[in-house]
Amino acid sequence: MDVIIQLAVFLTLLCLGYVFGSRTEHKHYESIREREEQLRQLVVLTSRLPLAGQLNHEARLVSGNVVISVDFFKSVLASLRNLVGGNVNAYESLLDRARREAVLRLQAAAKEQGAEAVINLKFETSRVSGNASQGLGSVEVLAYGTAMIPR
Amino acid sequence: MRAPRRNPRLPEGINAPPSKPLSEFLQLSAVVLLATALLAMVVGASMPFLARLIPFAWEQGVSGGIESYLQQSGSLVDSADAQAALSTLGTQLLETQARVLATSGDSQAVPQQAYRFALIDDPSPNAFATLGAQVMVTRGLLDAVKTENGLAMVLAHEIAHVELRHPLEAASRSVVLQVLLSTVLGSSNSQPLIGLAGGGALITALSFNRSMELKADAHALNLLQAHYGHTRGADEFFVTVSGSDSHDHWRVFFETHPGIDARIEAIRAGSGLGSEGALTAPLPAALRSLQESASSSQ
Amino acid sequence: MIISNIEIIPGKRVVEHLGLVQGSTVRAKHVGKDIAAGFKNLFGGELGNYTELLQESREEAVQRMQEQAAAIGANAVINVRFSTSAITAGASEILAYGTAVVME
Repeated sequence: MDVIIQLAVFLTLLCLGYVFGSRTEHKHYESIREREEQLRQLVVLTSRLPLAGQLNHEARLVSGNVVISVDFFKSVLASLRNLVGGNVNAYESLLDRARREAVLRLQAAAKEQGAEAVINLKFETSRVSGNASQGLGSVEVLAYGTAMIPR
Repeated sequence: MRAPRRNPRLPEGINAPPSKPLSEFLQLSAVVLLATALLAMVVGASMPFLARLIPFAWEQGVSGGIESYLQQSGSLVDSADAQAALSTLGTQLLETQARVLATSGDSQAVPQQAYRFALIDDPSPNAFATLGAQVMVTRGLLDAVKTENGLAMVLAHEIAHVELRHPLEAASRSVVLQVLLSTVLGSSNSQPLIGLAGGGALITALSFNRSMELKADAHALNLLQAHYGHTRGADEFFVTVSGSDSHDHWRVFFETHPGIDARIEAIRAGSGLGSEGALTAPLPAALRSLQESASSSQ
Repeated sequence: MIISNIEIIPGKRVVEHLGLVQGSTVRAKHVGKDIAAGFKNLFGGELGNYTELLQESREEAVQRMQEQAAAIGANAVINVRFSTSAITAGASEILAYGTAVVME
């Protein structure tokens, strides 16, 4: 009897995770695409040297970060994938979203300061909750770089 | 060098390739379930050989909790005479078994002194053997047998389980499965899966399986033949149980594996020669009085 | 395609900066290899399976970064950086990112 209750709870969580998780992801991607379009003018590069024409700009550190968590369905899917091996699709889209969101926030921060571009972009990813044996709880992605602000 | 005016419009789906999570989920669960089932089968098949290699002293070391538990909860039948009568019958059977084995130069796998026979105060008809050669018979079973021969068959059956190391086999199978499952699932962080897969595997691993029961039946018949010179009355218990319709969990547990009718058939087929007209012995007086007091109190 | 982690490629001139490109992948080995690695951990030494896992992931991440760069018409990626994080036991996340450029 206990097993049946456990199974029912598990399946309910799985369904809820799938429905809400995929809706959240879909909405998030839409908003990411929309904002990327709006902030397209603010260029983000990894080059360490200021570009020609920006040599007299003021340089200031800007950053953007986001903590994003995985839904129950995806965590189960990923743990199954972990047994079999291969690409963990469930987490790839999660990290893609997190990274693009972090860059967007970096761009927003730079725009607030009136920057023209952000150079020397770097990423930092870390797990912020949950330990190794419990799978992925949530990840933090930090994007930081130098904003070039015209004087 | 031209400074860029805007960020590039990157194509979607390179870092997160489009996937079908539902079908991926179904495929992966199928693969994992199959692999788990295969693992359980391999472990189950290899256990009989491994269990026999474990010395009985080790088995005794891990058991002992069961009878003390029964005494605590006060469910042993409160009659020293009846307990002694049961032990006497069990010991007689063990002596016969030792004699039979000695003629072919073998000795018993489990020392005779290790056996403990106990009568449990439970109205459902059942008997079981557990780790450490503990053989238990319920009071309800006494009502289901008419003669000493019927009771002896049940005892001989449980003795056969112990002699064939079935309790150890079942227990070690469940332990090994548990360890394997927790290694496999635990190393890959799937907490929600452990409970499910583990539960399923343990249910199948804990009980004796059909072939164990049939083997024990065959051994028991041989022992009965050697003890009484015939096997009349051997099917008493099974006939009574299959006739009654109490849905007690012990009985269900006992019955689930081998279909009871098939076992009656097998026992009847096994007990052919010399049974006709042979005399069955009455139950020992102490046990019979228990039977009567139980029926009068009902 | 030129992939480099320096800014100035000798003998080449950057004609146009196109922008940030990135490639990332999350991969796992099957459980047998995870367990083998667990045992290997007792004795120390190189965990060949995981070396292989990370190398494969890195190659795939670079591959994806190149795909993005090619899609926007770049012929080189400069200032490439790698970042690795263990986001869950037995699975690693590798990120490769850089600036896509057009070179002469």
